[in-house]
Amino acid sequence: MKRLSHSSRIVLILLVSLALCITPALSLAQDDLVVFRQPANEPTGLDPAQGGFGYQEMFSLYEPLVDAYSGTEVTPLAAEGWTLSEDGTTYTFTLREGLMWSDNTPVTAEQYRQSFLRQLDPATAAYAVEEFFPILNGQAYNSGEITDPNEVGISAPDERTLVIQLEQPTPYFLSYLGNTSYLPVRVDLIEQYGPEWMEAGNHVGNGPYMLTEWVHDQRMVFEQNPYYNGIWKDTRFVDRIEFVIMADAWNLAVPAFEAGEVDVAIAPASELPRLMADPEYAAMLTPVPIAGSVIMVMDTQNPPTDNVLVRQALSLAIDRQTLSAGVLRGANPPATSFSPPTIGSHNPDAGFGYQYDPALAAELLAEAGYPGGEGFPEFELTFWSLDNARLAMQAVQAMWSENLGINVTLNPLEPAAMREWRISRNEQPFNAYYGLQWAGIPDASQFANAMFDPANSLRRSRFDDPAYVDLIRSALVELDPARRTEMYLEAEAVINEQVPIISLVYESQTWLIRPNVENFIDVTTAVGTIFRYAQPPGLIVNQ
Amino acid sequence: MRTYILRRVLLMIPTMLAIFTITFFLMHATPGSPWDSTGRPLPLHVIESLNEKYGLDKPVLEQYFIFLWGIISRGDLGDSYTRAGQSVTDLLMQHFPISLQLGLVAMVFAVAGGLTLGLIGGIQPNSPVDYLTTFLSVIGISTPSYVVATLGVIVFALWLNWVPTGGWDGIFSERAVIPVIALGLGPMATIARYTRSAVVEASSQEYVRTAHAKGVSRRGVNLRHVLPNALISVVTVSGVSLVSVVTGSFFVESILNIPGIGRYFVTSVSARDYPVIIGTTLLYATLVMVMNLVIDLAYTALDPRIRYE
Repeated sequence: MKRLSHSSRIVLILLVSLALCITPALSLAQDDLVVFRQPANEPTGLDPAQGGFGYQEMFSLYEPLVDAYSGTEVTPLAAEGWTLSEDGTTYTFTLREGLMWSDNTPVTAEQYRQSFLRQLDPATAAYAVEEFFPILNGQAYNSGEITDPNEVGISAPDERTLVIQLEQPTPYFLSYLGNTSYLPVRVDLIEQYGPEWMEAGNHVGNGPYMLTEWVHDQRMVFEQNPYYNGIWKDTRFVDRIEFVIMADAWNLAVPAFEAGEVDVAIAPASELPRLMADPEYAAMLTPVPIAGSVIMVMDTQNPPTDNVLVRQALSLAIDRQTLSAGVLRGANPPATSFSPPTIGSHNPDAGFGYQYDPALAAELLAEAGYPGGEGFPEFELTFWSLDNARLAMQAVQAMWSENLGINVTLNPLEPAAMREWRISRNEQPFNAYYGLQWAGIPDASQFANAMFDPANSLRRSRFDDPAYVDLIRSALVELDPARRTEMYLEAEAVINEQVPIISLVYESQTWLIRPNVENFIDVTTAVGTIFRYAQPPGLIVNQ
Repeated sequence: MRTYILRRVLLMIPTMLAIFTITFFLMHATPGSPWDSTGRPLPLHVIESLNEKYGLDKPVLEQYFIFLWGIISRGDLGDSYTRAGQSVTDLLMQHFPISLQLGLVAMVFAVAGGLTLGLIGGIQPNSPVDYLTTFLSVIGISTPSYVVATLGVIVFALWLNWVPTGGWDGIFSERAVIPVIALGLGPMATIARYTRSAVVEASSQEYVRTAHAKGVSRRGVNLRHVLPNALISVVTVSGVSLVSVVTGSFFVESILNIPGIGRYFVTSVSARDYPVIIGTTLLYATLVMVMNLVIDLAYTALDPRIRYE
């Protein structure tokens, strides 16, 4: 009884002080603050040279010259416009007037130049340094052949003009310019603070939002950059973006969403059946395609997959519908062509590698000399030992056994060990391995050239058909967009027919989004999930 | 006594060196490199320049001495490969205290609960009360912490809405409730089992019978004669549990979103984040050695017959 009266006295005192101290205007302002809460993994950093955070998070903190992610066209962003010389090798960008960093200092062309040179500097060891190789002497500077940065084809003749010279006409260069690797950083502050330049309080960006708090492994807060003066200024409807940092935001965010602690969450495949069964959550599920394919790379110079009939048989014997709906619980759509639908080269009408036809598959295998799988050599399927990969590979193993009568061995490797194994396969023969291929920029070259040009391929299927290589090399530099797409469609038809690499399903994510959140995900872009914060039409969180 | 402690502390140095050496060569012998994620592979020349930047292109033996010299001369464990701009020392300083606080509270909970359960069961062996406490502790031992954590989230956060689903606001916040239970339940059950059997054993000793014969009350016998003698085994098992509890749990910290050090024991290995692997291993080793010393010293306080020269 005594305690009760004591606590009620405290409550009374608190209420009185609240009424006295806090003006109605202040409490109104507190209520009006629009906050968006999103689960996230701890970013590896905020450095555009080292991967950093997600696309849109990076674009909120820094502003690139162009916007390559809002639609199908590349549009001006920090640059108000640009010109391209007649020979297609020199871009001249003019920065918008009055652009400011979040420390209220002006943004200059020279700072963009320094940022790009920093990416090329071999000491930076930038992850996406390849994206700077189209620049004149870019590769030579990175490999140490030349050491004078003034010989690199980037110059800033005045505060607002940036000139970039290329080695040769590069139609997709503008898309690179809109990528996170081309974001400007404050080289002076990196020198001043050392590795701690990315911490809240030290970090300075030129984007619509700024970093105001970062407690590692716990939370990160972006607030509107008061000095931002760019074109995304008026589509900032959210005042604060709070990232709730989780150990595994991809798989563990659903309980926090259910408890109302975050406004959006990725729904992992394992949670989908339960969420779909609940009408309230089913209405909040939003599938988002990603420009990525789940693939199987085959060695086209090592028997038995050196025989195109075998490769076709292996591809035709995979029931992608079952794989998608049954094995992967509907989380990923089945592949109908080598590259995913959001990429220009997606070509489901050509080639027959993507049908499911067990009878034809068996026939082709017999024609190749292995009737009913008889005499088929030992065949090993290598993959990293994560859930989805294991499920998919076990399904493929079963389908091949049932439809073709061949028995393959599964070779699961721990992910880090798999990387090393895969690199060693550049030299050594293999049978087939599992992988993912994503497009870093919305361009068909990310599938065709990145995977099949023998000069820069990271996924060696050793499919070195000279006619095909010629085709993708000339498509890469083709300046006429219509002709270019046509060439890539033709190239894709070759891959669908010759199947050096099989696509199984396309990458996809399913998000839970609260009904009061609008414009969070943009599904029209070609690289897939782009979250909007300031990017038009602007993220809206209704209170 | 002082010489004994000094000798034990000095012995830690070669032990640490051996642990460092074994860990260093084991992790370098494991296939895989720190670069590249499971997604898009990095081009080979980028991997080469990353190796160069972090000194991984040098011969392993040279790397070993550079690393060792860094620790000895500057106490520097190097920078994390996966956390740009964070040194391993920063990382340990930032995340270990959180696991330590949680672990200590969980151990208080475990010791208090375990002693009570064990004592209740042990003084009335084979009674219904004993069966009940035994049942409870078997449940506690056989339920993994991640099950407790998940159930905790479902019951306390999602059904009852008493606490948030996870996160960290300091040890005195409501967010600490589920992790403390999840971390403490296993050790509590173990301590309860050890206490029970130690109490049963002590109860059958001559000195207990003597005490009874002298007319000491039941309560007095249990508190003054049985419990102190039963404590030796409890101290041993608590000390061992303490080290594993204060270094956090990968599952509990991941599920409950706690920024402790526990998950780094696992993620650093799968990411081949060499400096963090060394850092967490040395931290664990130090704690084990210190704890063993503390336990040994605690014996002298509990049992006057034990002496160290």
